[in-house]
Amino acid sequence: MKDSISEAIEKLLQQFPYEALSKAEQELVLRELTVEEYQAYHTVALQTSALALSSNSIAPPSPDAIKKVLGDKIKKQTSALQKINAVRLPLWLATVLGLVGYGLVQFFQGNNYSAEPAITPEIVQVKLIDTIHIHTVDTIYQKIYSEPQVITKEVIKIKEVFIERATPVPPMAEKKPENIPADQVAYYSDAETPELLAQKPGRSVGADAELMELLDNE
Amino acid sequence: MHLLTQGSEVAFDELYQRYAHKMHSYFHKLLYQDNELAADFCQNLFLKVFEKANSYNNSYKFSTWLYTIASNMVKNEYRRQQNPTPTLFIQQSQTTHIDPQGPKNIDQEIFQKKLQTALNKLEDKHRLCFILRYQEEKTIKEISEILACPIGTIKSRIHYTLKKIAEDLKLLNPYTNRNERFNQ
Repeated sequence: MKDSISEAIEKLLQQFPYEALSKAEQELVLRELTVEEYQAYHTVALQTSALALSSNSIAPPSPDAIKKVLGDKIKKQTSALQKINAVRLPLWLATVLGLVGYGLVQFFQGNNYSAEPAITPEIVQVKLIDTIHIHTVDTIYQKIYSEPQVITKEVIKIKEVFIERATPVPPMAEKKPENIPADQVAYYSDAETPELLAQKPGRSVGADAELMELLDNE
Repeated sequence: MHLLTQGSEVAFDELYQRYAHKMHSYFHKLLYQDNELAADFCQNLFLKVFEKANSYNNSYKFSTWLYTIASNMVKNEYRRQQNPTPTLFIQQSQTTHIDPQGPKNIDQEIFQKKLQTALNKLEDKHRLCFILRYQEEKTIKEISEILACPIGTIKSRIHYTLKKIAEDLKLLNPYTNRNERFNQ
């Protein structure tokens, strides 16, 4: 069982008996309470409120006793008339003062006495300095048109392909002598020196027949 | 309240006129219908209000502040009495109870007397909650502020008290009787 009932139901049971509730309200009530519980609680709540009437009819104590305790802490605020009364002038003195005042007024009025002093015109030049503060706020709207910028990026790829020669070049053929006449250049070309290329260095003298023959003749 | 902090008598009179009756009856209900005790408490309350006017926080309702002071005074009184004899208060309630409108019928008169007895028998914390809700007609939120308790606790106490009193008065509850009659 729940520890407490919802505020909505609690408000309903404070005011209405179960029969006076609408269908929706009855359904709401039945989620948390039985009909008997609701009606019992309603009776208790209603009778408790009625019971308060007996206490409500009793008059509170007079505030005078409290004011007496407070004493000087509480200030008595009085009206202007009460303040005048509080001065408490003797009646005869007030009467005499009143008569004297009345007599003076009558005296000045009777003699046509002008209490207004002579007016001497005086020109006073006043230097006025005006200070004007102007505060303006301008808002400028500027329209800016721009053409779309087209950037074309072209990439050229260069691929180097190295192709090796079919036959190796002899070192001599590459190294051309400096003082060779132009007509003898062809002699050193690769195509015309196959025999030289065929000769291997370190060849024995005995292997060359012509050379041996020459040596023998000598 | 500003004038009261300056010690204005006019302000004091105005507050007294507005709240004295209500607070006196509140004490009367909580202090077992003892009229003299309620009058003393009411006087002390307004003395405290005058003296503590500076401590009043404008963000709260004045009546809530007033009820908070009053409830604390009652709690202190309960503590002072420690274990009040319920029978004494029951007798007091029975003798001092006067219905200003006169008894409507005998059944109701008896029912109300029993209800008063049941209320007086309650634990202090439950009685305070219950009276604030159903006799002073304060909202749950206001009660939680006055008693400095969470809303859930107040709801729980009210439900508990309703149930307890309904059970105590089961035989006198006209609706229960009617149901029993129907069942028979």
